[in-house]
Amino acid sequence: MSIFNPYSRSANQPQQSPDFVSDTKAELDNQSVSGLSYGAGESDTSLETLMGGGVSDFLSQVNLDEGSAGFSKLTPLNSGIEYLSLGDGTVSGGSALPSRGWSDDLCYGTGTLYLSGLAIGGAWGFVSGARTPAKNFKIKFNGILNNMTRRGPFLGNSLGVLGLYYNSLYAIIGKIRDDTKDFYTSIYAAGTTGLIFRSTKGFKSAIVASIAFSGLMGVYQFVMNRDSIPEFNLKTIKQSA
Amino acid sequence: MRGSDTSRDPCPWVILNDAGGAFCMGAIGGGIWNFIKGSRNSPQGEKFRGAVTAMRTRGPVLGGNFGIWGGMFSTFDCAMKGLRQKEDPWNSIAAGALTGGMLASRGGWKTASVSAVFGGVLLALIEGVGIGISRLTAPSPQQMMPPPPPPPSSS
Repeated sequence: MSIFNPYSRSANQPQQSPDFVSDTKAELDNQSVSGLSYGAGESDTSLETLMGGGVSDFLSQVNLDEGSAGFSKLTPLNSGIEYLSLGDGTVSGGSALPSRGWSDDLCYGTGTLYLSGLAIGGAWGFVSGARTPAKNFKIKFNGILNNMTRRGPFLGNSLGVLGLYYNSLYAIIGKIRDDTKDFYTSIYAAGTTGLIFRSTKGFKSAIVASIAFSGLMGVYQFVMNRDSIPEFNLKTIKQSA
Repeated sequence: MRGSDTSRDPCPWVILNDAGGAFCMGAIGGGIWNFIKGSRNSPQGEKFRGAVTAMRTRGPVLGGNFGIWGGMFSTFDCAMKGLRQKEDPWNSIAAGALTGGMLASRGGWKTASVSAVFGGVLLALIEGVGIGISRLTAPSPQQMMPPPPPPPSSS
């Protein structure tokens, strides 16, 4: 439930765990799909018997017009198939890029918030710069640029710092809660973020920011991934009722 | 070499990663730096307050400068990879020069070109050091044993 689930390409699909099958199972599956039988079934056509009469005799037995059925005589797959091992490195999250741990979460979360803050602040500055009257185009253009470079970094820096706080607190709180990174972890992290962010503005302001941030994060998580929160998943509630 | 690093994510997404990583680096480093600086510059009894104020006002600014550099560099790097269909050190060097030039573009042609050369040289140094380190740490080719001498033929 990290911050960059919006990029999820596979949000609506059930998550597929990699399915490792044995060699014989894979061969049997392949045979049933393609309709070809490999060397294991036809032991009499091993390479030795095929090659008995020399190369030209062997080649005359291979009918290339049959397609892959003809080719399969060239490679009697007696030896089984080797598969690439994909088991190394655990990844998590059903987003477009699976997260490789807290540092990935931190970089992507902060980068997303920073760049979106920069873009929104730039647009805000563009609008406010375009509204101010100016004598000619050159002054107008300069005013727009001034406004954009004032508002863009302001909003981007603030959101970036918020992302930095949130994502590092999310990792820390998740660690404290025995590696449970769920709905409540993100709520707690958002609340602590608000507390720290407004801590210099007085106690009351910090509490208000904390409640506001955790409320916003709760709404966001509820909207984005309702189905992975057990308390809000209607299907499981209906089943248990 | 940057491009051949398989632990990095595919191209459009890596921009977010680079911008975020650079922002974090700048914000944390700038925060610590300005905390110490603020506490040294404050009068006795106001040290902690002054340190926190300096950290909060100047830390994010450095983070923002780093973040925009990282994000823009990564964007140009990806654009170079897409245009040239190649991954080599020249991508990074050109991206560094373009970033330096772009960020200084409001200061006029002269400032922008000086900044672009600076960015290119900086990235060339980084790439050169990276290549040198990978050459040094690469395993040296194994020595082949000479073929054994033919057995003495007994007469």
